[in-house]
Amino acid sequence: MIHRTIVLKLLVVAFCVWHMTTIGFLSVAATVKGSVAEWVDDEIAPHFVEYKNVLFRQHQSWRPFSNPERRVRTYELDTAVQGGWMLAASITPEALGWRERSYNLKLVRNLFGSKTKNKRRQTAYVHMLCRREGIEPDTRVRLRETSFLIPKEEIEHTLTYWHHWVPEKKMKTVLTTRCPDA
Amino acid sequence: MKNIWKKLEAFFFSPISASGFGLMRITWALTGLISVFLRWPDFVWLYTDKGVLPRSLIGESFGTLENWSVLLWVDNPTHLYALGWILVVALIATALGWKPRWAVLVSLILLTSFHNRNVYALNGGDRVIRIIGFFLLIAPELRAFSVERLRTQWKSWEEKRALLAPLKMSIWPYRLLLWQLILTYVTTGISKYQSGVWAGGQAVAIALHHTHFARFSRGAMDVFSLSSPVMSVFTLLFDASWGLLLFPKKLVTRFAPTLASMSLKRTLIVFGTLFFHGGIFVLMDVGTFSIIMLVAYCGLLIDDDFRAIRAWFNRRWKSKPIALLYDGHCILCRRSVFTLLLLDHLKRIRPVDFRDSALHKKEAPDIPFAQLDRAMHIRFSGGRTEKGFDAFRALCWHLPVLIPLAPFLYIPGVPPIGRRVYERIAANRDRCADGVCRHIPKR
Repeated sequence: MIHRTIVLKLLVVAFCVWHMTTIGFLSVAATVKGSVAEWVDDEIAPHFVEYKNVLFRQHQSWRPFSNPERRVRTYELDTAVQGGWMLAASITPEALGWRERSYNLKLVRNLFGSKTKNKRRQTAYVHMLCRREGIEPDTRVRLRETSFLIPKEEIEHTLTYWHHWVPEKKMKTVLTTRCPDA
Repeated sequence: MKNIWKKLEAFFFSPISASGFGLMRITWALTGLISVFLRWPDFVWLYTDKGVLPRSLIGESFGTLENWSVLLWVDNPTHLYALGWILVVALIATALGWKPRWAVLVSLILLTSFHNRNVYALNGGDRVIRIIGFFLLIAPELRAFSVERLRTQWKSWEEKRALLAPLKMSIWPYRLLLWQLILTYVTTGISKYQSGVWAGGQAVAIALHHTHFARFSRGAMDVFSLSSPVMSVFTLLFDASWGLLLFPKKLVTRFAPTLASMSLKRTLIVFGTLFFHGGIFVLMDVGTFSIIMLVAYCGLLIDDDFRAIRAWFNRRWKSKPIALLYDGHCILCRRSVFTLLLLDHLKRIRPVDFRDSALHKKEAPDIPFAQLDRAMHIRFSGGRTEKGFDAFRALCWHLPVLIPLAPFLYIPGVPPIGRRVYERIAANRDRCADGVCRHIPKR
C-alpha cells in the first residue's frame, strides 16, 4: 500500500506539471504571433480555457504591452443648449483626478478605442455620464472625441524633433443620444 | 525509478524559507486595498445597472464559468458597498495574517467578482493580482510575518528566551511563480520584438508621449524619451534574460562566464525593481501594474536571497552584535526586547538578561545593577554605551523597518520628550496595566 504522503506528493507534482503546461500553452497562444502560436491557439489552447476561467480568470495574454498605443483619444460630453452645445464633462487626463485617472481612461479606451465597438455599451456609458453629472432627463447630449497619432518611424530622438512636433488633432462626434431618467 | 523519484522530490519538495511568500501575502493585500480604494467612490458607476455596464449588456457569458461573479445578484448600492467592506476586511486580515488561507480565499473571490462585473475598467495589474492571489491560495505555508506566527513566537520567547527558526515550505509554489514570471516576460518579449517598435527604438518614446499614461509634462517626457533607443532595446534584453533562468547555471555560465559569480535571478529582480518596473512607476500611470510586479518579486525571495540581502546591508558592519541589556523579570521589558528581536532582520542584536549575574559580570561589569534596573542599556563592541531613549534611537539605525523613523528622533525637542516618556514608562513598569509586572526574587 503506497504511503499517503507519497500519494499526496504525486498529486502535487501532477498538478504542477498540469498548471505549468496549461499556462505555457495559453501564454504562447495569446501573446505570440506566428504559425506555431496559431496552431497552439487553434488545436491546444481550447482544451485549457475552462481551467483558466474557473481559476479566478488566469488570463495569459501579455500582448497589450508589445505595441504601445499610438492613438491618443480624449472625450468630452456636451449638452444641447439654445442653438448650440455646452461642455458638461471632460474625460481627459487633465480633467480627471489622480485617483480616478487610470481606470476611467482605460474604460474609454476599451469602450471607444477598440476595434469591436458595441454601440449599446457606448450609449450606456454616456447615460452613466448623464446621471453622474446630474443632467436633466431627455436632454440631448453628444460625446465628442479628440484624437491624435503619436509618430513612429519618423521619430528622430532629438529634443529639437520633439519640440517641433505638434500633434495633429482630429475631432469627431462619436455618439448623440438623450439622457435617461435618473 | 528511485532516482527519478528522488530528483522529483528535490525539485518540487525541497524546503525553502516561507518568508518570501509571507512578504508577498502582505504586499498583495496592500496592493488589493489600494486597488479597491482607488475605485471606491465610483463603485455605483462601475458596478451597478445605473453605471457604465448594466448587467443586461454584459452578454451571455456573464454568470457562467467564464465570467462568474458574486455581483451577478447585487445591484443595490448598499449591498454593493457591503461586499466592498467585506473585501476590505478580508484584505486587511490577509495583510495581518489572521486566518490567512480563508482571508486570501474571500479576497480572491470578491476581487474576481468585481473584476468580472466590469472588465472594461481593468488594467494589466488587475490580471496579475488574481494570478498571484491564486498562488497564495495554494501555497502550503502562509503564516510567515503573521499575527498567528506572532503568538507562537511569543510563546517560544517566554519559554526559551529564543525566537523560532524561520518558517519553511516546499518549493513547488515558488517554482510555479517563477515559471509564470518567465512565461510573462519571455512571451511579451517575443511579442515586443515581433511588433518592430521595440527593436526599432521607438517604443519607449511612444509610450511616454501617450498623455493617458504620462505622469509629467510634455517637456519632461520629451527629455526622458531621448533614452528611448537604449531603453527599448534594454527592455527586450531584460525580457529575454528571464528565459535564461530555465537553463542550469552551469550551461549559462559556459556561454556567459561573467554570470558565474552572480545570481541571475537576483540581478533581474534588482534591475526589474529599480529600472524597469520602478522606472515605469515613476514615469507612467499604469494603474497598479508596476506595484503588483514588485509584489510578485517578493515571492521569488528564498533562503539564499535573504542571506545575500542581509550580507549586503551588513557589508560595512564588521562589529560583534550589540549587547542589549534588559530586565528579564519585567514583562514589559521582555515584550520590548521581543519586538526589537523580531525587527532585527540584520541579526545585529544580542539580548542579555542582566538579572543573570554571570551575564551581567561578563557583559557590563562597570554598570551598577541599580542603573541597569532604571533603563534598557545597549553596548556596542567598541565600548560605546547608550541607555533608555538614546539606546532605542541608536538601535533604530540597525533595524531596517525603523530606519525611516530614526532621523525624526534627532529633531530638536524630540529627544528631551523621548527621554522623559521613557523614564516615566520605566519607572512605572512595576505597575503595568496588565497587572503582571512584578519583580521576582533571584533564585
